[in-house]
Order: sequence, then structure tokens, then C-alpha cells
Amino acid sequence: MRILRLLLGCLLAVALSGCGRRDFAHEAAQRGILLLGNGSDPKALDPQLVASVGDSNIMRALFEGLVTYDPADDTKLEPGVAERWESNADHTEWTFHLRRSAKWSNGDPVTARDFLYSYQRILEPGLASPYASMLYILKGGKEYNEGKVTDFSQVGVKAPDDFTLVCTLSLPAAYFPQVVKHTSWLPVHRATIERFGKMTDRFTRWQRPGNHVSNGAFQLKSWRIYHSVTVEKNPLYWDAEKVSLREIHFFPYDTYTESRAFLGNRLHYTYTLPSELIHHSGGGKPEWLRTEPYYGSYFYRFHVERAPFDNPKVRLALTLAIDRQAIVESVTRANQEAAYGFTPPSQGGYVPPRLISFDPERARALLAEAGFTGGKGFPGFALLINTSEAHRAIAEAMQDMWRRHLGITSVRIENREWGTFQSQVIKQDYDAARAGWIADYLDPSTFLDMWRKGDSNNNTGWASPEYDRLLAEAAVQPTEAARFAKLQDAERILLTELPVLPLYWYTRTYWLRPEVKNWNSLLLDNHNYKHIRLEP
Amino acid sequence: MLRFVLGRLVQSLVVLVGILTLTFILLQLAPGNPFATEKNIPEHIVANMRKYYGLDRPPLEQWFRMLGNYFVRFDGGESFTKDGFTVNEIIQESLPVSLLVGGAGLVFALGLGVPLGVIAAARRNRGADYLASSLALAGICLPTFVVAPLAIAVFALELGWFAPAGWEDRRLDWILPAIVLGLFYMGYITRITRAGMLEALSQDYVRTALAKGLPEGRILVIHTLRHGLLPLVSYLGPAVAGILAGSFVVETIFGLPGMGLHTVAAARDRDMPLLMGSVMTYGAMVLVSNFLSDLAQYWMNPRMRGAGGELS
Repeated sequence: MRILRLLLGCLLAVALSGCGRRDFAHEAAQRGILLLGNGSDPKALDPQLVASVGDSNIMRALFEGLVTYDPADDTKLEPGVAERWESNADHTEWTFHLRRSAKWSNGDPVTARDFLYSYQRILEPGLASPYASMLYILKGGKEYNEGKVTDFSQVGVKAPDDFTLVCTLSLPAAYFPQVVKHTSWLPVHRATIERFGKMTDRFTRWQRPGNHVSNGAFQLKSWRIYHSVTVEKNPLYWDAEKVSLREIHFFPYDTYTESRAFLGNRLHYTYTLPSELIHHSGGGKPEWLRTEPYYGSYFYRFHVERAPFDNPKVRLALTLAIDRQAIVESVTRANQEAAYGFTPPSQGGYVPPRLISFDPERARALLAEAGFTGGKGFPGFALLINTSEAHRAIAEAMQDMWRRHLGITSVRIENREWGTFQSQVIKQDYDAARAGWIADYLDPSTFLDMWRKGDSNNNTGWASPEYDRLLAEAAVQPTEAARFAKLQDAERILLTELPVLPLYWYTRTYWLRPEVKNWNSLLLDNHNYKHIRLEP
Repeated sequence: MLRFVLGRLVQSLVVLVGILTLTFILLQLAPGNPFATEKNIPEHIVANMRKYYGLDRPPLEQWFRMLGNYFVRFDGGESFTKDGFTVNEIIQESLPVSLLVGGAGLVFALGLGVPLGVIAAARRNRGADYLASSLALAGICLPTFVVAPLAIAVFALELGWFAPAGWEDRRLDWILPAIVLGLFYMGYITRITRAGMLEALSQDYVRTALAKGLPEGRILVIHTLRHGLLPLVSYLGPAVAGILAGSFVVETIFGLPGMGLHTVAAARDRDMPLLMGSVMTYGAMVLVSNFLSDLAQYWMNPRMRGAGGELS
């Protein structure tokens, strides 16, 4: 007993002394090192091979495109390697004028030929780049990527001299400078790629520390799988004097692990935050919490070639019977916004028509019109989700709402792990399947283009000639207002015919330490690390 | 003895080929592909990728090539999902982490589990037994995903003794995950040791020794321990491989760059070369550790040696 008391006493003493423990994040801030949770382990450090959001965060530190991200406003364009740019009257030909001071991290100048090489590389069928389709907007880009055209000079990108790049597009796009901010449009260094293999070799050692050459504000310092990626300030970057951070460390931690690492003062920023920690502080401080709108939409696809979803009335009834407000308030609980359209609204930009609401009475009437009064005789169907507690909870809420408001009791929930889920959706082997879409660039077309007939992301079997016509018309409008009006007309068709059931618009919720300055709310969440400062 | 070792080696090779083949067949049957992303990649690009990785070849050819990689070239090839890394590199980088955490966990589990089991057996149905058995039961019943966050909350976040997550070389942060990992095995080791010791203590020779007036401690350590630990040694065969190959749960929670993460991620992403490499490593560890456990039993159990040295 005496030993036990002694032991307890020791424990208590240590517990009290433990209060003076080190604040690693603060020490790192003093040394100019930013510690970020990044959600996942990078697949590659090659901008033409990465596909995930976490990977593109690292790419944005290492590389700089023609146009880059404004630190505070997504709709604005910040000059990157290009000092200025202009287009012809119908926005089909864009000319970028490159700054002469831009350098690679090995001292070589960044030229228009580097961009030409990079765009050829990503479109090479042999490279099998997952994001090659982003460059289909270039005239002939799709044909080259599919191997139908083998002469790259036929593709709509030219370098008349070292500091001029001309892009000819396959369709008029007033938003083209927004598109070229994306990771897939970043340049790579030809000599480095070819020192370690052919242009189309996916597996070379050029992306390793020591070999890696980049043109952004930072250069690669270290890369350890499931450990971290470290980048350091690139002294040869053309605007290096504006770069305040000395290093950035990206950690691939799991959601809960990173929040514990944050509480243990090892991170400045968590990639995300479990919803438990939003509502019960769990040791967190209110000033850490950030909640911001994010340019993404959570929805369900209907397989419209399958009964009963071939009937638009059924789709509308099912959509109207869902109380989205209840779902975001009591199920997802991370301050998401209940969707009243498909495309998320952007401030000062596009706003979708308000057509989606919660109207159980009208839903019941529509269902009766479709021949299922009181839900009687409604065929059994499955909600397909990829395995996740969060998706399941939402699916259960929908199941319950349809039972209560429409009397439909035949809804099953089927969960599949990611790979299986994905292939079932692509093969259209489902009744209704959950989906999430995060925009690649800030323009409503990224949400609306995919519902065109035959688009590889449509996967619902739905097609509307009228919808496709409106999108085509929108593309050639002279002003943004006129273009948005056409897109709204198109979205009105989408929201009337409803091959999709919109649920909510994403938000991003995370913790950020007060030392981090100039980290602003951005719809695409693409922060330009060049402008981030640490003030310990 | 040499014949036994050689026989075992051949047997092991056959088993390894079998394991790899079975994994290969399961992967062929599993839906999905390693190139799936949130975005639907156009058909021809997926076709390009399949060609690049040789997945467009007939399964039999793929299978032969895979076996050739492992048993002739000793090279697992390139990972499908960890661009630019070979399977050998990935395992070289991650296995030491799992070995260190698992090895320390094993030492902890044995160091605590064996004495607890012996004490429990020696003090059967008394206070010490109940305490030891309760500890063992707690170790077995409390899942790692409960114990690990609790341990982090107390020892990392409250007391600040260890890092709550991450892996820095030359620091002692691996102690906490090792203990959490070891707790589960400690529970089993305690129970198995207790059962083995009870069985040993009921033997005639123990009664004889007691009747002759030998001190209890001496009987326990000199006369019964070796016999009593036999069941534990056979349990340790597969268990040691399991603990050293890395735990997905512990590595995820503590953010450690270990093998367990790769094994699960490779299965999830259909990364065949990496999964084969992980399965091969794990399989080889099970075989080696089973072999060592058999040798240990042979050495510890005079009855086995008496019967002409045949091992089952």
C-alpha cells in the first residue's frame, strides 16, 4: 500500500512538471518553418502525374504556372511566370507574355519552350497522365492524347519565341486563365526529366530530393513515404525576396492523428477536423477553428435508365422529400450549406437557380402521379455508398425521410470499398449512388460540363440535347454575365430533370494556429504559400 | 538435424509460392483497379496505364513474371501507386520502423506477460492471480484503437513525455506505440504462461520435489519454467511475425511510416507489386519465426529429443 501511494505521488509530480513542455510548433514558427497536415501521402512529386488534392498542395509550393493564386480571392488572377496575357475577341486564342526573370531552381531560365514541352508531356498517351483531360481545352489536345494525332505541332499551343506562349482553344473560354492555375498546367524541367529517362517514363528518379528541379517559391528538400515531404525556400525564385517562409513540412497524417499532433503542438494547421472536435472542443481553442465554404457539391446520381428512376416525377419526388437542412444540422454537422442547386454559389460570381427545396406534400403528390400512392408498390432499390460511417449516416437519414414522408420502405443501403464502388458507378451498375465533386478551377462549367451526353463523368445515362445546346451557347457569350445566364438556364434543366439529387455544398473545417498569417478563406482552398507568413 | 532444416526450407518455399499465388488469384478476382481516382479517367488512359504496368498481359504470364521477380531476381518491381518507388525500396524504408516498434512491443509483452503468468500460476486463485489475470484480460479485451488514443491523451498530450504522432529518428517516441502494441500480446502471453505453468505444476515430478522439501521458488524457476513455457513458445511462432510485420491501427494512430500501412493501402489500391512484397515479407517472417519456435521447443522439450529427434 505504501508503495502504491509512493507511485501515485510520483505520477502526480511528473504530471505537474509536464506542464512546462515544449511547444514545437512555436519553435518552428520562430525558425520560419510551417508545419502542415496534408491528409494523404503523396503519390508523386511530378505535376503531370499527381491527381489528389493533397498532392496538388505540394505541387503549388514547388512549381509556378503561367497564372497563379491570389492569396485572398479565388476569382482574381495573380501573375505567375506570365507577366501579362490577352485573348482575341471570342476567347479562343490566348497569348501569355513570360517574365524574363523566371528561373528554375538549378539556375536555368524558364521559357515558353518549357511550357510547350510540359503540355506535350502531359498529353502524351504514353505518359498516361490521370489529369491529361484538363488540357483537352487546347485545340487538338484530346486527339493527341487519344493517339489520333501524332504530330504535336497540330495541338493548339505554340512558342513563337522564348517568352511568348500562344494557346488556341477548342472552344471559347473566357475563364481560361482560371484553368491554367491548375496543377496539370504547371511546367517541368526538360533536361532534368530527360536525364533520368524518356519524356514519357513514369518511373524515374527525377522526383527525388537532390534530383528534383522546380520553378516555384520552394524547392524539394526531403521526401519520406508516410513520413513527410519537406520543401525549402528556392533562392533563385524570381520573387524570392517576397517569400517569407524558410521551409514547409507536409505531413500525411490521418484525420484524428493530425488533430492530436496539433494538440501536442506539432502542427500549425490540420488538413481537416473530425466533426466531434468542431462541437466539443476536446482541448481545442475557439480561436483555432476555421470554417469556410469550399467549392464542392455532395450529391447522389440516379441511374435514369433503370425503373423507377426513368420517370422524372419519381426523381423529383425523392428529391423534394429530403430535408437538407436537417441533414447538415444533425448528421454531417460541419456547417455545410444545404444545396438549393447543383453548382455551389461563389461570391461575386455564378449563383445557381433556386429550385431544390424540402416540400414533402408536393413530393407525395408527384409520387402518386407516378403511380405509387403512399409509396405502395414502389420497387426496392439500393443507395450505393463507398464504405464510410459519414456516408452511411447520410444514406440512413435519406432512407428515413423517404419512409416518413413518402411511405417508401424498400430502400437498402449497399456499401462497397472504394475501388469496387468506383467501378460500379462507371459501369452504371447501381440504382442511386453517392458522389462528391470538388472543382478543379473556379468556374461553374466544371460542375455543369460533366452532365453533357457521353461525358466520362456523367455515368447516369441522362442526356438532354437542350442542355448540351445551352452549354455550347454559353461558351460563346461575349460577357461573363451573359455566359452565366446561359449556364443558369442549363442548370435549370438539370435541376428539373434531376439525374442527380443534390444534398449539400462542402465546407472546409480545420484548425489553424494564430502564428500563421495571411491564410485566407478560399473557395478552392488553393493557398499560395509565397504569401504566407509566420509571426510567432 | 540438417535434413530437418533442409526439408523445412523446401517446404517454406512451396508455402511462399502458394501464398503469393493465392494473393495473386484474389487480386485478379477483386473488382476495381489501381488507377481509380475521384475523377473518371478516360478509357484509353486507363488502357495506357495497364499496358505500362504489364496488366494487359494474360494472367498466367503475369503470374510467372511475378514469381520470377521474387524467386529469381529478388526484386518486387515497381509499385503501382507509389510513383517512382520500387517495392524493395518501400520495404527497406518501412520495415525497420515496424521492426523497432514491434520488437520493443514484444520485449515489453514478454517482460511483463511471462512474470505475470508465472505469478498467477504460483498464486492460483489468490489476490495476485486475480490481479494478473484481470490485467491480461484487459490487455486482450481493450482494442488498440481505444487504448492508443487514451495513451496519447495521457502520456503525450497531458504529460508531454512522448510525441502524440510522427516519427523522428534518434528520439524515443517509439516507446509509446510499442507499449500499446505490446499490451494486447502481453494479455495472451500472461494467460498462456499461466495455463502452461499450471499444467507443469500438476506434474508428478513437482509433487516429488515438493515432498522432498525443495523451496518453492527453486521448483518454479529451475524445474517447471522450461516445461511451463512450451505452449507459449508455440504461440510465439506466428505471434512474433504478426507483431513485427507492423500494425495498421497502431501505425495509423501514431502516424508512423511503417509496413502495416503499406500492406493495407496496397490491398485497398490494388497495388499488386507492393501487396505481393508485403505478403512475401510477412509470409517469410511467419515461416522463419515458426521454424525458430520449433527449434526452441525441440531444445526445451527433452521428450521430443528422446523420440529420435523427429519433429512434427
